Amino acid sequence: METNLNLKFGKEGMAMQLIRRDDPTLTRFDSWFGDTWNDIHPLTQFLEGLGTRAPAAWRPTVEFYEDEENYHAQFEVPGVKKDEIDIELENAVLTISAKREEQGDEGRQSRFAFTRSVNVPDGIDADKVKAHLEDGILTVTMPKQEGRKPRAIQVN
Amino acid sequence: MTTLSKQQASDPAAQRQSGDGTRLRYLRPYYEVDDRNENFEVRVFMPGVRKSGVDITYENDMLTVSGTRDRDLPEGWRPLHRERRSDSYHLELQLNVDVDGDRISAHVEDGVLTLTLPKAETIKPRRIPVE
Repeated sequence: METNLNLKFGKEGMAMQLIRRDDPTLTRFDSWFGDTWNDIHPLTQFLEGLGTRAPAAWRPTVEFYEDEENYHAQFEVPGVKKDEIDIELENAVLTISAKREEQGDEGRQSRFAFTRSVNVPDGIDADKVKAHLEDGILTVTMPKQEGRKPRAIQVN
Repeated sequence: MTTLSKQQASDPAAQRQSGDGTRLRYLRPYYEVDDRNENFEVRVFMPGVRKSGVDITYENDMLTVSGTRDRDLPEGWRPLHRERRSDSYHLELQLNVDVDGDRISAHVEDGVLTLTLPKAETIKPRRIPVE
């Protein structure tokens, strides 16, 4: 079992060479790729690609927030560069996708590809949607249309 | 080797933990390893973690990485849907080969910690001249 642990990360066996044991005390499989076991882990994908790093299906986690003026969707996309991300908002569905096709150079991970969609509430001012990428977190800020903002109602 | 994640995924204890959306003390981050000739390069994926939130130790061939992200939400943000189960990451790797522990270097960028582990002289690739 312990020796097998090394293999799953092995790219041409290198991880196996470097790492003897991986989290000896932990058998839990924690992943930031999602909270259900049905999510496809990129690792599994790499391995199923017979050790090559074919573009992996990767499902970033998303968190959704609201404040008075906006909705905010936060996606975890570590290592992904700004110009690799596409964002689309259509019919109240927000979709982000990203792709890297070349092999990893020094300091970069290699190929990946993913898409994640979330439903967003109606009443978003689509022309004013903004996105910000920092520390591997993509934040998409979607302003509410004027009529949807909370309003103070005067009691007469 | 393809079975490891699956085995774990079918572990009933793990499944329970995952299914009910409980917060966990920490997550075990995804990582990658590359052999770069003179170095090993380990990339640990910890979205949201900055330089100040990273702690790395190397002792007795054990490389330990911890990362914590800033858990404060911006003013006025209310969560409507959450998937992340912890703000902390923890990874322990027992190394199999000699690395030069004094010269391990690290940097964080875009939520990825990159560790460069120089190989010890004894394990560096060597060119053997034919005499």
